[in-house]
Amino acid sequence: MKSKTSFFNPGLIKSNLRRFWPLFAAYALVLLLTLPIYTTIPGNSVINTIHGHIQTASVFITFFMAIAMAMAVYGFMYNQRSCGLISSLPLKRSTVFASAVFSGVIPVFAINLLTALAVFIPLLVGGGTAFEIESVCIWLAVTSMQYLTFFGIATVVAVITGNIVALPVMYIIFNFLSSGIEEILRGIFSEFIFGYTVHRNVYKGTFLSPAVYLLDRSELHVQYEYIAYENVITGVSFSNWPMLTGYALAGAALIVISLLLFRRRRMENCGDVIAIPALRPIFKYGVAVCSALLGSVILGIFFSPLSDNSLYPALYAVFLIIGAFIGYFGSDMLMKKSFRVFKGSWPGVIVLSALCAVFIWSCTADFFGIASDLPETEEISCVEVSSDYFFPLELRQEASLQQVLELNRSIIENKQEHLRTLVTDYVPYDDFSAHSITITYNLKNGSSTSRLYSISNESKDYRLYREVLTCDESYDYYLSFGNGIMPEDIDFFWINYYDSSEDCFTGLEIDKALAGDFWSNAFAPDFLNGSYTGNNFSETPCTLEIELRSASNRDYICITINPDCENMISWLEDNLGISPFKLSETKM
Amino acid sequence: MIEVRHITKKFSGFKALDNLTMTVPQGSVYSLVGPNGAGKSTLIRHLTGIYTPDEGEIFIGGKPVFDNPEVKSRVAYIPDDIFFFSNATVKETADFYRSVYPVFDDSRFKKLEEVFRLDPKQQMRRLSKGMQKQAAFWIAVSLRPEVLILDEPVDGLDPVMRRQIWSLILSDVAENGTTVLVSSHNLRELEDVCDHVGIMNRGSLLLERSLSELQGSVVKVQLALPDGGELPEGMDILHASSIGRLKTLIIRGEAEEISVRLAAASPLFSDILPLSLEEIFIYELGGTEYEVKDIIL
Repeated sequence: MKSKTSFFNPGLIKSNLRRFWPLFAAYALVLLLTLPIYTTIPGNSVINTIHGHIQTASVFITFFMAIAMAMAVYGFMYNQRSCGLISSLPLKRSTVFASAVFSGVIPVFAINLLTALAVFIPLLVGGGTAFEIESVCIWLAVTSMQYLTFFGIATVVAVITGNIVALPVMYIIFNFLSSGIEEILRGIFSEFIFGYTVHRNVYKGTFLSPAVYLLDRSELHVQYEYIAYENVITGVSFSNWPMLTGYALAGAALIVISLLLFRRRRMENCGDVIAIPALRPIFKYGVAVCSALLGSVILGIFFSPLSDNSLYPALYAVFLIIGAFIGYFGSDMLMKKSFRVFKGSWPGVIVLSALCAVFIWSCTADFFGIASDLPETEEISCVEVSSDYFFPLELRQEASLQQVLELNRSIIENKQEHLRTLVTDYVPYDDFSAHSITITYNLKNGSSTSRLYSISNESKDYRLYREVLTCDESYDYYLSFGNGIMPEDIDFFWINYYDSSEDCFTGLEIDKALAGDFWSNAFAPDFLNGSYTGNNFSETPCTLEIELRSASNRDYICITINPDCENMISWLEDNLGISPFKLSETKM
Repeated sequence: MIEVRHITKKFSGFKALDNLTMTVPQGSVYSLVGPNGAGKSTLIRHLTGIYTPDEGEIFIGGKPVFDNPEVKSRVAYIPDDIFFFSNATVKETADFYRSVYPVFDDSRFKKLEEVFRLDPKQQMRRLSKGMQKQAAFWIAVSLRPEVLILDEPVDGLDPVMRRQIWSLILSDVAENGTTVLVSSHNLRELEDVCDHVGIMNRGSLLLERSLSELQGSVVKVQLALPDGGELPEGMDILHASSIGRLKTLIIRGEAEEISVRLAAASPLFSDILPLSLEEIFIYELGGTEYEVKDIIL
């Protein structure tokens, strides 16, 4: 009698390959079209194609392929009949599971390898560069690790649920849950905690949403050197190997955890939304909390004009509670497959509703003191100050830091005044009565904290803000364009302005000496005397788009000249014959 | 061969199996019968390793069943609702079982092709229900199992195929000592093939005996008593009906003893008739509130 008790069962694997070959074929086709075939189109270089693929396409492709494969290879768990067949076979559960995992992973890796070879071999034959070959290898590793990550997630969801329709839904939710919750919470905190914002849109919990994190941070870095006014490739690398390795290991760990769950899984639970009884309360309350948060989103969509009403927090709490109610009983209905769930379940939803109310109260009352929590000067490494209309400013000197902190404390003291100031997307573009200011404190311990305020141009705090903008360190910062290029370093200065007489943009290259002169003697004085108020794209025909280039740097700056910028206006007229506020001729 | 010891199984608080104990002797054909919802299929799923009990143990050949490939490799199971992989042909299904089970008798499989007359290249989903069952039997007996577990095995089969299949099964029992456990509502058919019976109701085993003992422990008596005649007292009468003076009684006890006791009542007419398995089933369950009720509409 031959033994059939190895870790994998060839019969199961062969059966899976035979049944699911269309999935593998579709995956192979998508990869072939988007990579090797795509690179044959003139104008599409291998490196650029792989760059785009790693950044976006491979994340999407592996995301969807993982769930498709999971539904296929674990599909036997969701039907009583198929469950009965597989469970009655003379195979250990670990063998069944391992065979399914093998069927879902190895063929995909093989297809990835074949795709890489389809790009790699023509490069070898046709004399591709070492960087192109290296980028192919990077693509192979990145795509395979992304797939392992997503397949691990799909596997654990597949074991937790007993319903094949719930599997893809829960998989998608799992991949976006953390980011979604963080986004909603951020919205709630922004609504009720004065000044609350997130530093540079960094979501701390995004790493728990792999799809979002990978889309955001997967990139093939191509190193260029600017040699003789040409960009020459000097290296390729992947943006974040530790992140991807961590995810792939997490994916593998989830597969191992899934094996442990599968070995104890009760097959009579197939068909249930949650097949593992211990997880049912977690599902119920998890859905209730998410539903509560969605309730707040709906409130925001339909009732945001009421946000300055004193009853708005109460309305917010009501919507949270309604959402919690729907989620709590809705999830129960899903699990029990019945609408009759209202009996005996009220204590849980009452407690949840009370928690919703307490949550909103704690935000409105700033129970944790977030709004007034500012760092001390000695804790700060540097502070960034930015607004709608000015270049972002970075300050490090102690005097400057203290000035910023003084501004921030004053804004907090005058909170009620500023809460009446409204800066939204709906403000007419020529209404500059208010500024939206972001202050970001980068601390010495590596962390950051940000504050966002809307202040009126008429307020005392706006004057404090202007003082920050025009302090000595600010002036030096702006003079160097904020990027280290001093006027004497300028190698190229191009002005692009709108000529209303021609109804088109016209460009002029300005020589080095003239460029430095403009920056020091026209722009700087207007900035310091306050006549340059930032890039207000109002009714002015003169928007200067400046391209700066030095031997080691390249940057673009945009300056909108308003009628008060006397120095810049007269400089343009005197030196270039450009009259921004009249019909003009250009003078080279 | 098959031992079930005090197993209990609950589904969302409902007790599907309640402290059930059962023994299936080796080489026997054991009929598991019971009303709808008695728990027969649930028990069978425990025997085949699909379910695991909340309490109790299940052994086949002295070894636990659950997650035990060595035990399960000796068991072939045909459920009432057969599952097969979509688009798989008969041959591909057989190949799958061949790759999973340690034993697959290819020569027997080939010989039985003449019996079942199914095209091995035909897709299983295109076969009728009865033909799917035939295919399932074809593959199952080719596995040469020591234990054959059948849930409603001949449901959907024509009479000729039924006889054919029972003949196959019984020849395996006789030649190889195969143990067969079959669950079915077709008691008339089971009566011809089984030698042990287990009657289930509400998750428990009401009784479990060899067929001969069962038939010997309950008798059907038709008798006519003289005017004023009374039945002897102390008889365990499961059921009584009468048409005129002719009474039909189902009495628990040995036929000889009952005959002697009835003779004391000097009946005008008395005859002891054999009970069918169906009648035993009906009358044994009668005391458990699962009796035939007269319905007045």
